[in-house]
Amino acid sequence: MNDDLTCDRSASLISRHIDGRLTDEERRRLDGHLEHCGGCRDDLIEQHLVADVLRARQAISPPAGFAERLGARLDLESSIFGVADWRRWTWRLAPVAAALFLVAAVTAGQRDETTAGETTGALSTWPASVARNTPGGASVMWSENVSGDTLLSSVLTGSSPATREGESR
Amino acid sequence: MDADRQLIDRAAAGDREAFDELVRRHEARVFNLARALAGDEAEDVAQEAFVRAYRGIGRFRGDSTFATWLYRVTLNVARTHLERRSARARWLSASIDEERGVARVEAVASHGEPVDDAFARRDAIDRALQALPVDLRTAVTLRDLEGLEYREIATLLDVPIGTVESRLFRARQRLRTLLGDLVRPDRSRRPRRG
Repeated sequence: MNDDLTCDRSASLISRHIDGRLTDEERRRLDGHLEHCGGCRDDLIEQHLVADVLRARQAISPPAGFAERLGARLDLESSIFGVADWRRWTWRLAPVAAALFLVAAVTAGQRDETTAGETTGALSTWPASVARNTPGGASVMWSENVSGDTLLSSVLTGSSPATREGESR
Repeated sequence: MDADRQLIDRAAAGDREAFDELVRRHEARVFNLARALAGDEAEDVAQEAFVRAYRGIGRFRGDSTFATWLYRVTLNVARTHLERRSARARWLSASIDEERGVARVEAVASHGEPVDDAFARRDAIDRALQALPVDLRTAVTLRDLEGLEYREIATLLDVPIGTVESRLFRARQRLRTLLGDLVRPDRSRRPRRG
């Protein structure tokens, strides 16, 4: 029979032979190789024997108390670590968070509409209005073109430069 | 449809009794896999696997069966466990190399407890498995002990099917030596040919 298999390649086919996964073509090629390769024939026999021993291994049951010990761990997991598991409580709080976000968004929208114009106007006139409404020498701080000496004098005496200039006249 | 589907949905919604039922259904399978992979530390591995499954059941999408998903969780836990054990052994300079494994298993299989006893045979098999490199041990355990199909094993291990085949071959080849007299050639019994 024609043999176009190497021993390395036959290893894969031997595994598949044991597990009944060979196609007809693969089976023919493996048989051709086994006809004259004693090493692979021995491998095939031994692989079968080992697989049989493993498959006959008696299953082992979990030891007594396994379920109870696991239950205790899961109880602990639920009580302590369950709180620490952010995925659980954030998921449960998701509707509350969504509602809060919605309320905040609506409120912010209303405030923007009512105050936008006022805010812009106030900012543009701010220094002048402050100067106008600030009593005494402090108003000089909002005035333009005031020298350092005048500023110091006004702060110390509590009078505005205009007042003092008027008085001196 | 996955026979566990309803229980999974209830467990994901926080129903502890549903998860307990899933444990009852799968504990033997998980424990056996843990035993084959981690030997005497099987309970630690199996318990940790269930705890992780409990934490992560909400993320189970049903792309595979629950049993396969649980296998994957158990494999990951066992792998981490074995890496830690290996690191500990290196630190303690306690060699757990394959030669010692061979000697230990052969002592049991050939000269120790009567290997005809089912429990002793199982112990000898489990010790032989422990002496294999982890990748070979995992492949042969999933196939010959758990009976998974090649495709399932390839998916679980994230390797091509050809790699599964070669790992199985090498694992069984080494086990032939490790199991000693436990594997008795019966000359009257030849594998099917043709």
